[in-house]
Amino acid sequence: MKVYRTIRTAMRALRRNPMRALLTTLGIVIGVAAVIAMMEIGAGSSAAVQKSISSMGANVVLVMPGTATSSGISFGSGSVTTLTPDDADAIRRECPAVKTVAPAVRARVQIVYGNRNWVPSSMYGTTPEFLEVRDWTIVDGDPFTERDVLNANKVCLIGQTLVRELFDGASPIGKEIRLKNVAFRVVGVLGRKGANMMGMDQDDIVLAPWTTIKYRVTGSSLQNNNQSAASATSSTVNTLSNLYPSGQPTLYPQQSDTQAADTPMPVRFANVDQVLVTARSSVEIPVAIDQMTALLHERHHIREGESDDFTIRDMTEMSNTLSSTTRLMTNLLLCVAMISLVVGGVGIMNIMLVSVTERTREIGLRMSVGARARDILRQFLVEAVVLCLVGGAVGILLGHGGSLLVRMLLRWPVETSPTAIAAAVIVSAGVGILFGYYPAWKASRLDPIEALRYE
Amino acid sequence: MEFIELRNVYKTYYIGDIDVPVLKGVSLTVAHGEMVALMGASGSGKSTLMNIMGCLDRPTAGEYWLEGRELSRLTADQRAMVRNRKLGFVFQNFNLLPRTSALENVAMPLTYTSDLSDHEARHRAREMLVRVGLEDRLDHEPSQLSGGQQQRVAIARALVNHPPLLFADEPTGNLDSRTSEDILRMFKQLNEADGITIIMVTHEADVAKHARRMIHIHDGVIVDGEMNNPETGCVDAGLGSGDSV
Repeated sequence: MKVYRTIRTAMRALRRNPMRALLTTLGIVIGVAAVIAMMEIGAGSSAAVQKSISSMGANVVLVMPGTATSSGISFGSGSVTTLTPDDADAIRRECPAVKTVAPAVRARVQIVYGNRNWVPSSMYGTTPEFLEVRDWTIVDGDPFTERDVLNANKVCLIGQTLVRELFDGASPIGKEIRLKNVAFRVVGVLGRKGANMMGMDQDDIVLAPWTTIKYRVTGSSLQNNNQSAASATSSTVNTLSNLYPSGQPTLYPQQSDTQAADTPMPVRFANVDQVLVTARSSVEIPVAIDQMTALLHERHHIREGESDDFTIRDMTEMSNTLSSTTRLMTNLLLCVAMISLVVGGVGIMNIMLVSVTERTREIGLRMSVGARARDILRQFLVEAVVLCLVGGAVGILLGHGGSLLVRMLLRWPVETSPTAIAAAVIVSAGVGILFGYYPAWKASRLDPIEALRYE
Repeated sequence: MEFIELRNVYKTYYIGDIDVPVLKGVSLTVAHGEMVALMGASGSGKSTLMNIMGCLDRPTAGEYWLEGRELSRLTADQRAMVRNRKLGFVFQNFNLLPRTSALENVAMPLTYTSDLSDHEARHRAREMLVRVGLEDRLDHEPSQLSGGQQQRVAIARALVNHPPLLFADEPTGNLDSRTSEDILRMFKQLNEADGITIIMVTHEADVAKHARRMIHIHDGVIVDGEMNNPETGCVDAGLGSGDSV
């Protein structure tokens, strides 16, 4: 009741000099409008930057099988066969911090189309969810489906580089390409991604159902299931490789092709080379990693103290870049906001001081009819705060309108930011109190006799 | 117990190292329902005396009793409370809030009294304006009112809290003689009909004539009319008015 009355008195006092009140708040209006517009445009561009960085795979966490060791000889990362598509499904089901999961097997084989051939730098056998994980779009055709994965259908998606190299830019949809003599139908073309941070061409890629790649192309079986031994396959093709000491030393006598054909291995290993996982947000990556570690410990029966048969890696470098970019932008905007609001606040203080001097007689009169020092203090303080809040409200509308205009005219990404609006309200009230306090205090210190006599 | 009683009141201003005594032992009683003119030349201390009686200032020494309460040692906030509840002020230059309607001007003191709702406050303010004969000027701003009307708004404002005591500091100083008569008649009526005690500071003998009692103050001491004595407190214009008009 009392507060309401004080606010009304303040409104009345401000209405007595509307032009001045308007000019006074202009500082705050412009300050808050600038803050809101900057925050919204900034949040929009920050989100756009984040999106583009995360499309490079900043949110991606890699789960790799661990190291196989034999007689003290390590075969390097990814050489055990314990990571399965079932693990991927379990991660999707049981880790709440995880958004998308895609198991992947890798291959490196020659592709032939007509009289052209090409060896893509990456070839993944995976599930359709891979596209979501890597935030990849299909520009032509359709992605392959879960059914294709279940049936090991011979369909694939190819990147822009392959379209250029194999098809001379013509539409490859429905065409058949041969991967290591297995005919695949091209069902879709991936959007352009360009080079990644390491300078590798990301468009030089083939995606196919992992079952097809694993069982029809690489033909992973007991002899060659670990990657270190996989080179043996190529050695059968390229006899020259034995001339150079590049391969792993052969510990056990290799089966010849004839022996292998004579003793078929019906066992199909359903292991994958890696599982790509995205967290719900970049801040949830550590949580996701913890959840996956716990889950895989349980699934792989790894006891406390035993070494893991898997490794989990995140793109620390990229996510650090991401967070530092965002932080830099936010801080920059905050500085601009602070400066403009301080300037606005000084304007308020200036005018309130003038107002106190000008209204000395009014203050004396109010005191003579029974206003206490604190009533006067409150009145002037509320006036300043009302000015600032009204200015803040107008500023919010102006700033929001401005950012909408920017979105419409310049097509910049803009994000409405409720926190910026809340902050603007709190800050403008704070500025009012901070810069209105001194003039109000000065007014309340006046001696009623002097004030009444003031000319 | 008298309505107002001053006992040996001193007031000294300290300007730098120099002491300036303004009131030098003033004793005074005013009964309930009196109308008193406080006269004196400029610099005689009449304004200081009024400020002390009006609870705007504190005496350096001495006692000030109002309605049986000693007020000279009150804090600033307590004095504000006394001013709000017990006293009304009418000034020479009206002191109305500019660009504010008469009604709001009159209701202004009520914002410092928390026990009235807005509706009651407006009602009371309107009542007061009707009483001073401005029922058709409620929404006029001071700039749209004549001097006499402005002073009547000021009187309504002084009365809105129903104070038992009204101070008028040169209330007719800025008015022509005709409107002065009107205002003084209104004071008289308020005094006689409503029993409001009025203390009027003036240096004009013509104005002072309207009061039933005159107190002359000269150089910080009361020279005439300090006791409550209706027989002698009549026309006695010779002392204070000559040098100031």
